[in-house]
Amino acid sequence: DKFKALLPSLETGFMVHNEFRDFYKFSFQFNRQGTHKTLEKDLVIMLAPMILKDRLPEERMSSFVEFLNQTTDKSYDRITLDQWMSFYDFSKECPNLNEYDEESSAWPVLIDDFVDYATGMQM
Amino acid sequence: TDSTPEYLIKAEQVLNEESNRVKEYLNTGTEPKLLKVVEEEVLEKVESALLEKEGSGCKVLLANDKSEDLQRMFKLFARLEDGLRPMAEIVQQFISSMGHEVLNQRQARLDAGEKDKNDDPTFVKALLALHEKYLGVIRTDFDGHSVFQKALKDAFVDFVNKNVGNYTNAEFMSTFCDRVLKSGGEKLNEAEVEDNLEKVVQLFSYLTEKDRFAEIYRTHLAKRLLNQRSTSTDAEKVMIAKLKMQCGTQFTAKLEGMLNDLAVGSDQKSEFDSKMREENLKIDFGVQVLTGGFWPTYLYPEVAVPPDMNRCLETFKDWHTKRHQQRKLKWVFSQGNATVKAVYGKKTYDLQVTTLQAIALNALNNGKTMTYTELKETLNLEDPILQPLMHSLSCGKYKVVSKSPSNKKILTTDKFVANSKFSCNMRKIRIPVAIVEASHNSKRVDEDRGASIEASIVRIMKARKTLKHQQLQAEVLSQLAFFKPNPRAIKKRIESLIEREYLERSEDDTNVYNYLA
Repeated sequence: DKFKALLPSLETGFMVHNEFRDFYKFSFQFNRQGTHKTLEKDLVIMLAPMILKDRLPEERMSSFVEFLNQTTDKSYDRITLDQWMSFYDFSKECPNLNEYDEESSAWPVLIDDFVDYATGMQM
Repeated sequence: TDSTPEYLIKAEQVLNEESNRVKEYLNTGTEPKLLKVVEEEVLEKVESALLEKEGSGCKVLLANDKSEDLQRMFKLFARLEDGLRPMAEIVQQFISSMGHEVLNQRQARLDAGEKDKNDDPTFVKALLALHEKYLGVIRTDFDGHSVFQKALKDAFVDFVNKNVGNYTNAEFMSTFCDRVLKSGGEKLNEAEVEDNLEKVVQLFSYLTEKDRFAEIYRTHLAKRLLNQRSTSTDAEKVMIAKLKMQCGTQFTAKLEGMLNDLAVGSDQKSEFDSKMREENLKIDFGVQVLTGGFWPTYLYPEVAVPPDMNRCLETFKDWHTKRHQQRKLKWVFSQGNATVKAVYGKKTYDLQVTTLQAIALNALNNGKTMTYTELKETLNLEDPILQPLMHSLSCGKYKVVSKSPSNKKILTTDKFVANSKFSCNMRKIRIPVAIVEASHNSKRVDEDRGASIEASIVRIMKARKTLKHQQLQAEVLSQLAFFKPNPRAIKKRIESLIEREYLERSEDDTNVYNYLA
């Protein structure tokens, strides 16, 4: 909530890619509660679009949120820093989901599941 | 035109003739060159056509057990540089199709309404027979050539890992071993036992999920050992030795540990027996100590033990603690057997029951009547255990206990009392009870797999320091001998290690991992 209060006044547009990436990482770490190393999925769903606004295509962000909302996989109830960062890095590296090759990729399984969902292959 | 066998006979003839001709007329140095030309014309150029000829090609010869023709075919094609490979491919496909046929037969039996159980000796025997047959063909017709041995192996690996129905082939192999190794199973002499075990181990070598086999085998072995149902300890040792030879010491460590526990137990038995005599306790009592990690997980119901039994337990505990101060003992009341002397009127019976059944019977001694709820409180047993227990004593074949009302359901309002009208022709009666299992095999195997994958990843990364994802995955797969995880499973373990800061993703290349010291 503290963070949320700060955000409207935050303009990240001036940051270059690396700076923004650090900021993006920081925003995950800042929002951790208690001794948890991970963030609750619902928090991520709220936070990510705010921070990534204008940084990623709207479509990518909203389809990721949709994916998280509908998944029944319990292992995604909490999101790790690795998953958080990977979503951003992956989106930058792979703007076209249809070109994604799971076999040769090292991205977290969350990304594989997301691509399956977004490209219409429900498992 | 000629059939393949006919052609091959002629080809053989031609080659022999040329060879003789050379010896008669030409320089011996010419022989190999000349024969090579003949081979090329007569065999190499037409190899495909010969192998695949409709009605007489390699597949047909195999199907009709044409041993002589196959031998000739082998000898001739062996002369060519790459002559055996196409033949081996056909042999592999053929064996694979025969294997799939065995799978289909099992499916057909299930489709016809046969009950799907964890035991299918017909199926296992069919697989063993198939293996035996083609092992023989390769030995006799193909001179045991490695190219054909590989074909046999690849064929078997292909279908042996395809499961039909609810149970895995790993489980069927294990229950088949159980039949061979337990008393009252298959009636076999010592040589037959060994032979069967040897053959099953060969089949087992084709399994990808060997760890599943091991876990199920362990459960069966435990049952045999604890219930004294092994035909012979030597046979058990032989099987474990064979598995060890296939898979290494680590694979059989737990199994060997279990046998060792039993050996130690029997060594110490006479010592404890004399201690029991000293104490002058009127119960014939024995304890088997199990080393925790080796045995399957059991339930530890904290049943209220009657005083007579408890004195025995305490005696053992004292005796044991004096010998092994550091060890902690925990009674496994869910296991264990007892013989209860039951007197009904003028007749006496020896009831072979479990420890818990004995304790329940003791509660109903001397004509006492108890409700289910009273029994539950007195014995301190939970419903999942107590219900089948009381069912076995009052609703089974031998109703040593009367239940009112006398239906087949156990309700909390039921009343139990020793059945004064009980009578039976036999003196010794075994009263079976449905066993309540602890944690299922499968979960244990999956947990162990996760740990194995992680250990492998850490080992590799520690040595290489930095590695691309694909290489890491390939090396992990090559290190894991007893199961084959899919790529996502490996990724999940990598992620877990990243989270626990054993590894990190490289900042420069998202496809690369760095080891974190």
